[in-house]
Amino acid sequence: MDPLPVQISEVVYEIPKGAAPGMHVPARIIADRELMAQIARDQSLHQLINVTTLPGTWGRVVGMPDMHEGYGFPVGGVAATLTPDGVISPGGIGFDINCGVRLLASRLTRAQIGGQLETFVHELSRSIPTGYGRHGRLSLSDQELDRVLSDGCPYVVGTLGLGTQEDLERIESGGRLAAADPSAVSARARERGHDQLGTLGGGNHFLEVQEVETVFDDKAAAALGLFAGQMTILIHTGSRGLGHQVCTDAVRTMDASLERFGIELPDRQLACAPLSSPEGQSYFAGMCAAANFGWSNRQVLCHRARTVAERILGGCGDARMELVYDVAHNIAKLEEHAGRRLCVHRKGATRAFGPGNPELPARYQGVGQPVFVPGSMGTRTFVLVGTAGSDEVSFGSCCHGAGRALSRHAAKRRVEGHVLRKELESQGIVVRCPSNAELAEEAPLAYKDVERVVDVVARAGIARKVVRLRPWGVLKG
Amino acid sequence: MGADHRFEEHTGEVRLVLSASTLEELFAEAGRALAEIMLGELPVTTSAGREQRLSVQARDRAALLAEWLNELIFLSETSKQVFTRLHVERVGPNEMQAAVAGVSPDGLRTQVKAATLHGLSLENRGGAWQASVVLDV
Repeated sequence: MDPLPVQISEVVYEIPKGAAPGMHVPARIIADRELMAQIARDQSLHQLINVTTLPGTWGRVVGMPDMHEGYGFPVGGVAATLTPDGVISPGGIGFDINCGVRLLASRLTRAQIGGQLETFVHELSRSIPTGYGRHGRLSLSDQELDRVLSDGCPYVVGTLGLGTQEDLERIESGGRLAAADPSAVSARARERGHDQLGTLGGGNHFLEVQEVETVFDDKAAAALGLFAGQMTILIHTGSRGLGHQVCTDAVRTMDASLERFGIELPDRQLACAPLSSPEGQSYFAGMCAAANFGWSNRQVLCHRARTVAERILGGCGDARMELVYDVAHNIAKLEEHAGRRLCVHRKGATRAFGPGNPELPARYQGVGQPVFVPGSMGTRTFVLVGTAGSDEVSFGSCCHGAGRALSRHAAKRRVEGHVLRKELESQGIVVRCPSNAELAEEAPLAYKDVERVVDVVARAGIARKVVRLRPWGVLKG
Repeated sequence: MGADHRFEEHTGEVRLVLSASTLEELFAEAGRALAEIMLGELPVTTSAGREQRLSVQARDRAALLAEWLNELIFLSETSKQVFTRLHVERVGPNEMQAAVAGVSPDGLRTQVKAATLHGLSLENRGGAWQASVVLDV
């Protein structure tokens, strides 16, 4: 039986180092009593303890309040390993490398848009390829794919012309990780990804049209260009099949090299290698390339959303959509924390750097990094900003969503998709999702209470609330 | 006893549990379960297309099960097919051979990203093969 976490402050629990065999560092969980009880229902805590056994883990591993059972790492887990010889674990980033969210803000309000909303959501659904569909994909030549992998958004904006220079300042790492090496991406990964740039994909990926419903912090909202009543668009997707294959390839390679490195693991999916090793370096270069693909994917989708907005809503007023920020929540980054160079794994967790961090653009130096915490379909999304305190508590990280509370099967047993569709429509939310069963899987009751999750991260001092967004329309991947 | 599969509760993903009297039946059942996840209730209007032969290698038998599923996931995504006709000819300790044919649906009910090594098991209990594998969906 796993050791139980001990409450060490109002919203922080700890499983001390030594509470289970092989732990190199303690595990901390940011949660209140209610969320802790939900987290303890599945294998999340066991998985978090497993992560503390990875060679080179430093400081502590951290579970976010939206944590739930994953594979290897829990979703909502943060772990830092000491460079150069601490390990990098592909499972600590996940198959969907650089899954993330980006928020666009318009200058339009609901009153200006009026009856055009449904047409707008419909046209978005026609222009944004979801799921399996073949239409609308941007098919890349080998040379173009190389450029996307090595140069990310600067290539998509600068050469393909899909965006503005201002966009690049408002993307985590400028939408490009310089350590990317296209040659570290296998032919299979390239084959999966060559026609997937500019696609939303399936699963829990979505595009949502929203309204700024509540402003909690006027000054911070103004710094982010947000105001009450304004229309926003949130895009949630990642690096698609290309990233999935990069992870699949690396897990296979690292699983086969564990013995050579003398690494024993409690779970094979935690397969890892020292970052300094050829295996570690090759994965890191491939992961960075897949991350560049992920940011580029969201950049292409952003361009498509802007084009539809100007075409459909141009008659309603100024339909330009400005990028607020784009942040990854499945990634490993080399960062300085507490004077050490660390490889920070964020699996279902968002970077949340505070004001003054040199990684942030000039525009956000005074306010902190924007963080987006979507709830479930039909519930609210929160915009927060990172704090200086997040560095000490969570390696500058925050939660990435509400976090699942029920499995997909359990959700379908409790919710009928057609009933949920009517409920959402009765709330004025336009839903574009082909299957009622898929709709039921993502029902609000399948997720933790996003208001509570956000309240906990604010009380833990790792981010503060700026605005709350209410959905108008959902396009489900 | 033939072959059987069920999906067990997992908060974020899909845990597939399989049983069969032979390894070949178990691997074929795993492929059918994958097709079931991908297609769900969607109608399939096309008939299975051209058969292709596959050969998959891995470090051990359990990893071979994950590799087999990952091979089907890769081929599904790149050829826009779901493999519904699966004949597993031989499963060895480190390699397997199969012949598969797929249908080309208009869409997918669930996209499967990968078969993971998390909680992966494959063992013979009392003469029957049993396996568990978590799929990232």
